[in-house]
Amino acid sequence: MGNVTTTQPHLEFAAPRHETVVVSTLRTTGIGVFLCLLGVLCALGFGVDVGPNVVASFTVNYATSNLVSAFTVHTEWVSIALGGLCLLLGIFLIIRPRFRFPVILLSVGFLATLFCLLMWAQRSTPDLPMSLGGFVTGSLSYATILIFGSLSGAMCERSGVVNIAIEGQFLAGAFCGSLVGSAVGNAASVDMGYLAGGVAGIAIGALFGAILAYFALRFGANQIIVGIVLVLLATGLTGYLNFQILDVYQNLNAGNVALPIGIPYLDQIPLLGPALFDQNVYAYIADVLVVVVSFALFRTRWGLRVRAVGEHPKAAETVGINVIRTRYKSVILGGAIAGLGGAYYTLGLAGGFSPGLTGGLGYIALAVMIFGQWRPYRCLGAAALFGSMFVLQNYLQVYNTGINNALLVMLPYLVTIVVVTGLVGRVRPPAADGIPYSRE
Amino acid sequence: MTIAEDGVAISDESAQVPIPRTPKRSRLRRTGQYLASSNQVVVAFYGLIIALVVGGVLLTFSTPPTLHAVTSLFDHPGASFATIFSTIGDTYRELFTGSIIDPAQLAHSISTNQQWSLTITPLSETLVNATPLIVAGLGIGIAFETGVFNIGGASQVTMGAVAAAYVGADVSMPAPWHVIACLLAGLAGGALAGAVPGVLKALTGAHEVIVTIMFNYVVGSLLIWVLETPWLGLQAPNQGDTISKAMPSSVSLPHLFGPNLRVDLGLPIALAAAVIAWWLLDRSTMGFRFRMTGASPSAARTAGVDAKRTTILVFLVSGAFVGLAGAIQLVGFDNAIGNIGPQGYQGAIGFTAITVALLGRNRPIGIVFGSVLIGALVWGAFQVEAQAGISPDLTNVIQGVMLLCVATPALVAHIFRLRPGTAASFKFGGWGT
Repeated sequence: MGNVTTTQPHLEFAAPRHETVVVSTLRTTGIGVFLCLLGVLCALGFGVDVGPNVVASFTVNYATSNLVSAFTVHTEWVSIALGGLCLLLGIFLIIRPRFRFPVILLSVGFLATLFCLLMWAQRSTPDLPMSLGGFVTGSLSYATILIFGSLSGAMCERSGVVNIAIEGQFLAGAFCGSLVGSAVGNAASVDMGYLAGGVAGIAIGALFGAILAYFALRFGANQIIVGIVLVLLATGLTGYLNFQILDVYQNLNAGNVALPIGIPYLDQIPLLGPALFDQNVYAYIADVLVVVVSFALFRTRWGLRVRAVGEHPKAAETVGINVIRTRYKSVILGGAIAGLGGAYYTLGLAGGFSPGLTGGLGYIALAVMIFGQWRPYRCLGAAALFGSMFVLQNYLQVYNTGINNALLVMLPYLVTIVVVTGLVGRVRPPAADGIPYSRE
Repeated sequence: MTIAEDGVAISDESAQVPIPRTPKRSRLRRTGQYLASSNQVVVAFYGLIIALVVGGVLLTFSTPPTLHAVTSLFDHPGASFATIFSTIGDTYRELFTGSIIDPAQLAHSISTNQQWSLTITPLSETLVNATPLIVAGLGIGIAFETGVFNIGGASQVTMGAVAAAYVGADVSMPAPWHVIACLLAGLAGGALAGAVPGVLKALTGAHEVIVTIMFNYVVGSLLIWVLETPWLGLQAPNQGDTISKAMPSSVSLPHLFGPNLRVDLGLPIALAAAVIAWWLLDRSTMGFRFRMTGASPSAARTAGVDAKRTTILVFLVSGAFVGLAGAIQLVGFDNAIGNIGPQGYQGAIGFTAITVALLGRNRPIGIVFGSVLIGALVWGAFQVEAQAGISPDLTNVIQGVMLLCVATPALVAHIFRLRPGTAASFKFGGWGT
């Protein structure tokens, strides 16, 4: 693998303008066809197929799934109506391929399909109404770790360093979060434990980020390979220490989960209130981070420098920006964010560490980052989509749908593949992404 | 001396002038210079040393007796250091005797000329562990050489094994043909698993790292489904477990050195695969296209190499090799698919194959030696666990640290003050390529 020249980004820059338009038109048409297929699936599969007079019962509130507040929906007609909506949106996109926001229409169609699927899953168990609020809350719980991961990825890649080690930073953060959180929680108070665990996650994540930066920037090592090796290393380390320490001293893996803190009044909003305004402290930090990272990257001088270094390091160097130092800072910061995400996973979601517990979420976070086009707010939306897939899979397992559980487990991963291959199309990453920088 | 046109050698004037020649260096000196320059063997060796040191530090802070010694370091420094070093020494000695050879047992065999098979057993087990790693590592190495990051080893191993298991359990054939059919099915299954990310990358430009890793999880779930669903015809009957039918005796590879040593015909097959991979990469047109694409995608494109075709082809070839590894594992010593982990059937070797490919720097001969090294580490770690109760994940840490060193030869050269040599970092071109 000899010389991949550093001049390549300039070639990418010079791609003819009209070509991207052609690609995106094709993509819009493709999304239209996909929406039509979804519409047919909803109307026929979830609607006509279940037959007349079948109802699905739902509740809005989370946790209090009492029958009093349950309401029922007529499965057949609603499915046909929502399927028709998808079909209309799809046809609109096919005849108007230059429509500028196909992803918004796709999201609408996706939500409609999701609701049809939930009705279809619920219809045969009338005494166990499905909690829509629980669905949204669960989706956001999973989305939170993906937000941490994708922000970390965006932070690193905006400066031109590929951080594929997010999975490893998650694992290390999860392990240290649980270990330190439990130790401090046992010694002092549980709340201090959450604080200390979060700090430990940040520290270990930053350490892994620093290792990646050191190898990639000081020695120009292949960032993808170093990243994958760091994941293997983190997997081995956490597995080893789990066996040697956490299995022996089980009070160091106490498994406390941070309690949600409700914001008065706002958490009373139906459906979205509990999901958005009754979360634990880590999730609030994630939400704040989206705003902070977005502002920092796109509205501050520092962010402009980071992006300049990621797009055209030579030009940045010419105007006096220290490329290597900027990249070091971004990668260590990114690692810290991912490490905090790991601590969230044990202290705010799963409760306790077990080897390999993040199950590829770090890589899905990369898909979220690509789908979100390296922009924090778009990553937020993409994270919600992927988070909902995890909850959907859980729900379909609970409501006996006759689909094998093993097949349901692959749902989020399949959706990741579909999104990365089908929906993303040609992405434009930062031009110098993954290319080692040297001054000569 | 020049040769005149009529074929007679004549000596001309310039031949009389003594030509300055580089002084012939002694063999010892050349060896010394080789060892002091940063080439792959030396880097891997120093990497192993660094990894063992890191592993020792890790051991010190994670086993109760040494932790106790660390806490009382200032009270009884001598005793503490003795404890720490004896623990580390015992662990590494066990790692060595468990995977290479036990000197005491060797001495016993030499003096009495008995129990030779017991003496050879650790080495044999190391080779047994190395065999599928060689084949899988070749597959991953071919992909890496083309600049394609095939991280989907786990899925390809699994698909190869499943395909081989179907042929082995549900088709009956005479013995030698049955094994061959199983291995071919493994090739096909692996190629199929490789084709999915390959085609997706070629058609949509999706980055293969994400697609292959996600596909690992998908195939892992698919395997559980196959093994849990009776009508698919692979689950062991009347058990309800997630385990496949046992392979019939017609598909077990014969042992090479008698029944007591598990080394089987898989080892020569793996070595043959290494030769084929060498021929493929270094001598065939396809391999030349692969290497050209890996060296410089833009130059390859200019020279008329179809990038999409190459991507699909390299995934097919790479997947076929890795799938063959799964089949060899199955017909060699596993005999049934079970052992479900989060990464599926023995999926771990799909990741260890990455280690091996990097260690061998994608060269078949390097991959063979790298596999033996890693096979020894893996098997030795199991012996350490059995003897001392230390987690076998220790070997993953050692591998990880060693890999970091191998992936950045400049670091090792920096630490050990090596001269510049042949070992260089891998290059990578970003998400867009």
